Amino acid sequence: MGASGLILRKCMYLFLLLIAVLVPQVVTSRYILQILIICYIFAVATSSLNLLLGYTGQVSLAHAGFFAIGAYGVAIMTTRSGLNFWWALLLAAAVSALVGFLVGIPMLRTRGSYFAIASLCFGVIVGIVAGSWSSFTGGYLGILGVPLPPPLNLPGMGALGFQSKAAQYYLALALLLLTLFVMHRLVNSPLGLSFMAVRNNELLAGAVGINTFAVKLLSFTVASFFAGLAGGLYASFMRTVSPEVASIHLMFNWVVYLLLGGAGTLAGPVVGTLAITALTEVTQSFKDYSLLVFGALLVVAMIYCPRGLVGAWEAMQRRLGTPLKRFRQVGVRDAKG
Amino acid sequence: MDVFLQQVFNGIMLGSTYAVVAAGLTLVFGILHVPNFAHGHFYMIGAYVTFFLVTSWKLGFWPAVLLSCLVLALLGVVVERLAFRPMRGQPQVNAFISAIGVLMFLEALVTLVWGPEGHRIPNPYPATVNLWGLVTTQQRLLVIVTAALLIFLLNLFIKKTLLGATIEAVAQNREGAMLVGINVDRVSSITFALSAATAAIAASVVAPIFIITPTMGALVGMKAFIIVILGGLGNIPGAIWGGYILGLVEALGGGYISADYKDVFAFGLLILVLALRPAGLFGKESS
Amino acid sequence: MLRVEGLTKKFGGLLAVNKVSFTAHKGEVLALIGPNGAGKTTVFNLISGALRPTAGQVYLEGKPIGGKKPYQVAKMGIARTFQTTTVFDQLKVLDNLLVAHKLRTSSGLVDTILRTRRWKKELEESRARAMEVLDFIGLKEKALAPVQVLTQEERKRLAIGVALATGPKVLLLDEPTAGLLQEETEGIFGLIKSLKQRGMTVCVIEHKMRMVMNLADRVVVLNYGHKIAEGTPEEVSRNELVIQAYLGGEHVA
Repeated sequence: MGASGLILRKCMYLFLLLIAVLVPQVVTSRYILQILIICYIFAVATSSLNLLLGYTGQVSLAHAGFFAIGAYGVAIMTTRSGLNFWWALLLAAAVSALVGFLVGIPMLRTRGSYFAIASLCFGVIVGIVAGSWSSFTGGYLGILGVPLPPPLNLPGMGALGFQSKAAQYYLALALLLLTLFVMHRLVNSPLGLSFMAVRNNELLAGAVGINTFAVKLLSFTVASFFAGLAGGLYASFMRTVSPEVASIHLMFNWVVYLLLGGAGTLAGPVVGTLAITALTEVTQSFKDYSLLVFGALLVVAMIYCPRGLVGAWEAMQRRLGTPLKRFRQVGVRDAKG
Repeated sequence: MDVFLQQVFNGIMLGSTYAVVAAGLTLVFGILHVPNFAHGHFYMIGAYVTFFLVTSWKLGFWPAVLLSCLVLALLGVVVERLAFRPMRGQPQVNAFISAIGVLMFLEALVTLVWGPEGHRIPNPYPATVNLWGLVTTQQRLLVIVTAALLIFLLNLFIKKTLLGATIEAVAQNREGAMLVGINVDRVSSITFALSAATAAIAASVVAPIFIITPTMGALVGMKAFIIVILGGLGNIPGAIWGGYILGLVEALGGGYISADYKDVFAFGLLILVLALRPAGLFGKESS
Repeated sequence: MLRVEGLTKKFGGLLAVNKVSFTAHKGEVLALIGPNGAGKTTVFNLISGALRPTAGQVYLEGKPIGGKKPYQVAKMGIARTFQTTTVFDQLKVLDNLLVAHKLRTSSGLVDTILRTRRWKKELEESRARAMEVLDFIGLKEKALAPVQVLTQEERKRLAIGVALATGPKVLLLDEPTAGLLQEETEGIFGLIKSLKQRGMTVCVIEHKMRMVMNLADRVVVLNYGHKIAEGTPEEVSRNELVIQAYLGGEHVA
């Protein structure tokens, strides 16, 4: 069983990818492309948050802090040390992961709400340090003049520059695809199952030989890495960073994207980020009310639909029993192919 | 020496606010086990309601505070009913996320109505006082006195009234309380009302000294959480002492070490303490 | 195989387990019985590392395991089930077993992302092992079903299966038939019997005396945290202290 479902599913993914690739050919508005670029970057951040919150069950509110570490890392390394952007991006993400690993050790000893608070404290500390350590971070003004990624020399294609919005779009899309690829492989593996086991029942997970602390720390470190990566690209595309990148409001927005899109599903963070941003953009006057509505929707989602839009879609598929129902059968079974 | 005294006085004033807000939070977090992360936003709304009543309705300061207190009590009941009661029996972090929704909503609402800029409540008692060489304003003294009174009344309420005893009973054993016929829903409502109302008073009396903004609640809420965790969940004296200590640490640390980093001390301290005692300073080690 | 020596646990001033010693020999079924609150589950928690003993030591094949964390104890070869049926109810049946077998694999993050040869080989092994266990517990047809659709008895089987998938030398079963109907209980009996036939060492906490009499090679009786008797089911059932303990309690076998 599942063979035809698998093919259908792969076709759907290819189709979506095709649309994503064709967007810059059809859409010429720089404004829309810019929004999509930011969407993709935020979707990376939200996807990595999903690994922690959705799959490992740890409500981390430190994520904007790691996003900021990545952003400031790239900004500082490129403007002060004149390091090549690509190396700076990789290094900044590595630093973010390292910080995640180090602060994860004390913080992950706590559970539930305590972890949420402790992680939020860390995120806020990053923001305060970014705003106060003027000589290093430029204080509240931040750092200006962060360079765009330099042209990539691709064999057979010549240099690929990132001056145009379309090129930036493809880079952001590539980062999102890389993130989703890694998440997909993680989630559809025994390792990913051990994350979910910790989320599901920590006591039992320990009893079947899973080092729950190590699992949480790994999840936290990987999530920090991708948050840092997203932050680094964001700094470069915005050409500037300021303590805003560490704000708890950004963090709360990601939580909304994730939970309305569907925590614990691979598509959820992407769907949530795109859908909510689109909704906010389509009705400009709605922008003022957006936080009001999303705050309320978050509560409603927690009560009626904890797995968000994707969860609701899956539940509908299950009930209707359409041929599409195989889509939801993610699991290690599929990992073979 | 004068500077030192001044800082201590400021610390006590700040601490008075923290103590009241934290005591309110410990009621809902420690006793009802609802991690109401929006508690700081109750505080913020309390200040805005008073501001509105004083400037638009031209109410006197005290009638405005009283009315604000009632409005917030009602808001507390509504929020409990809509956002937290459905989360009962689910993992606590679900209520936490729900609270994030509530705080986003409240902050957006205030921004929508009064704008993102700061406002000032006209100071009802601006006169300066000279206390043994310590120069301060009546309003600042009022903050300290009101907080002390509020704390005294809160203690009296918990210790001496039937309702207070009921809240404690629910805290100790929810199932047991239900068995002896206590209406847990009612107790939850009342506790939330009490918690939000005290936050409103604390915010209203301290607000004339500072500027009120829609974002003022977030930091206060986080600090209240820190105090409650460090002081011991549901431990009212712990929350009160913790509040005063945090106020003093901030005033002295801000005055002598670095004003920019004063909040880092509090947040860093929490992470440090939780690293050593993951269940809080007075938390029970569960197995 | 599994040797418990002078195991003691104090909760505050309360002695929950007091100097309990017993041995489970290889391939035997050892039943732990006693009135409610006798400290049986606490003994399991102490062996499996969920609780730290106040005093005493536990040995598995001569190696001390006291003070180790649950996941380390599991790796050493002691698997347990919980009194309230616990399986990963958000995962599929097969995934429950795969995740339980993960402790016998060594693929890390990089292997997982790159899907290295080692990762593939280990996944194949884990699957083979999981299917074997599924076959044994009789849930092969439900491999890809979510746990929610299982009956109470099937969940109990799966809980035992999850423990088995960890590749244990000793299995600790905490009231495996609690809350089941008569014929469902028979099914679990059968499962434990076939475990025994395969040479598994099993320690079981059980209230149903008929099961203890039929299944157990030896019985350890606890009361108020003390061991009051040990022996074959026949010996124990004739023991004065045991009869008294049970007559004083609520269970009359």
